[in-house]
Amino acid sequence: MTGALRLGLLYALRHRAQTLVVAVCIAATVGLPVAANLVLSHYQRQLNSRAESIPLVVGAKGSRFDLAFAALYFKEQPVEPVKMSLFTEIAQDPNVIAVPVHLRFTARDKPIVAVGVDYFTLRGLRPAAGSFPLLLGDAVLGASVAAELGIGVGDTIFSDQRELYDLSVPPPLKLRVVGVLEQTSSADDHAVFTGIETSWVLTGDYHGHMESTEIDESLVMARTADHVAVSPSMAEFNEITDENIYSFHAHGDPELLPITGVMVFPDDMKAHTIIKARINNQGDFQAVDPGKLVGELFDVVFRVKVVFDWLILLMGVVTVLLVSLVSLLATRLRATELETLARIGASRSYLALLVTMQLVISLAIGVAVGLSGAYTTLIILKDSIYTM
Amino acid sequence: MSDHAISLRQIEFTHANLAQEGAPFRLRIDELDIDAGSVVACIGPSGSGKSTMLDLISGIHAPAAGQLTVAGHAMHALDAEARRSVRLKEIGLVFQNLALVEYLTAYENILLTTFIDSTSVGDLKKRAQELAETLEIAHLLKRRPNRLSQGERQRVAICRALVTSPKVLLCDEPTGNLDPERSARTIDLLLSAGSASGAAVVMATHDHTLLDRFDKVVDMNQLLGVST
Repeated sequence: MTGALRLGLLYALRHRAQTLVVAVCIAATVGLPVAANLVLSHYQRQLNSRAESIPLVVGAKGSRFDLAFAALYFKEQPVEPVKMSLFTEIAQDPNVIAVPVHLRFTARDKPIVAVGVDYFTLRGLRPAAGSFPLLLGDAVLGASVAAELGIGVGDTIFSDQRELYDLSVPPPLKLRVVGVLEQTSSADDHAVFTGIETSWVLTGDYHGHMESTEIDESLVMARTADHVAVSPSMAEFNEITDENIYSFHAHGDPELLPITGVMVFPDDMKAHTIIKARINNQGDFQAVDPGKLVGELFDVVFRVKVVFDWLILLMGVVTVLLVSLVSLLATRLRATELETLARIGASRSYLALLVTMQLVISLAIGVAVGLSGAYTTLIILKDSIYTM
Repeated sequence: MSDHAISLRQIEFTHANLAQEGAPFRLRIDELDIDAGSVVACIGPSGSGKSTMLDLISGIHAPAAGQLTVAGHAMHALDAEARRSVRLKEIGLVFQNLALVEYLTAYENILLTTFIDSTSVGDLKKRAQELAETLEIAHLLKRRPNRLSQGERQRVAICRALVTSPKVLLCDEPTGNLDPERSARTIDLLLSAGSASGAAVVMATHDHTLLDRFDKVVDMNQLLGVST
């Protein structure tokens, strides 16, 4: 056995191209379906666990998937904003806990997720350092964001510039990092969290500036008893500090300011059914059940995967034929060697083992490479579901 | 038990696959004894049975009748597996085309038997080194056959045949493709190396010009007799 193995290894080593071709074919045949199943199972687990942890998402009518993916996985989707009053109305139901979510901006290409502070408790999120975002301008980083950007508590992070040439759009806002969340292996790791009001500073609905009595007279264009018209060159604050935080205000009713949707956590199934029916029957908004939505999504994915599985099966058959052909040709090429070994004293079983060993070595290399490739693919792609 | 290294008595062998002109190939050897240390040439035209006789002695074929003793083993009474074991341990073989394994180095070719039976690898490695030095190919051991000259390849084949210190060395037309000068050198090398190891050497050959180097000559056309 060991002699045949040694000779088989030497053959494989000194016929690298042949071994490599067979091994690559086997690696692809083994690796592709394993990688597809691993990644798909991982995505399914991740999507399901998050979907099931947030029972209902309420938002504007439109694509159910866009709403759910925006609220759950912080994907920037074309979701029509709703007013804060929707949250207030839902929150009045004593049998549910409602959390507003506003997703529209980014900071260094990471989504800024503005949520009510209950979100952290309901999702079981805990700060690894610092605290939750309680004040205007506070930001809490997901674990992956903090690690990737190399920033932590006490540092600052700017929101990304949206419109470089549109002066009516607020400039980037300097956010104070007051906390970093523990790793959760979920979309939360890849987000920058702020309070809802902070997101309104980013939309321009909240702003802060000097008191009218403190404005440099050169910037005053007109003044009456009730109003002061100032030059557009007077900059608004682009950083919220202890000194200026109380100057921030909304011009108008905060109930009319925009949010993306409302996450709803009913106390029980009955409350779940009632609130869902109530919202869907009102007609203005929709309440979607993320768990069911993910189920529907994977039904489609698995139907597509059946085609993929058939292709893999076909590929497997082609690989078996190819490997058989290569083995047959190799055996014919080795006829002199095999005859010499037989004449010297090798048994038939030894010769069969030797020929098989060539296949076994290629198979072992192929399977090892295929499985390594599959697990490497999983490692590379496992977090991509939150970022792609 | 025979005292000779090789002893054939009333050997009969028939092989349907070796048919000539529609009739099965038949070989009959009444009596042939070869002593240890002696060198014997086996001559005759193609198809006369030289290679078949070597195959009988090496145990690749079994005689249909008669008594065949090799290195003290009654080959006629052994099954194929036992004959294979005798061949592996007691018999060295040099083939017409040398039959070196192209993807192995010269050293690995010499030690080819250790890939089949690895029970005494240590001793064989030492013996391989000694033989390589004796046959002046010690500096070529890491080369593969395609980087060796014909003469060097022959020496590697001879080393491989002798590495197990066989009691019998069988050579099947090892000079078949060589010019006369190289043939003479090869036969001298084989005979001296075989004799030095104390093995009985039997060589099938077409080359009648070199027969004076042998102790005995077996003419396959005179199967019932042995000319000396």
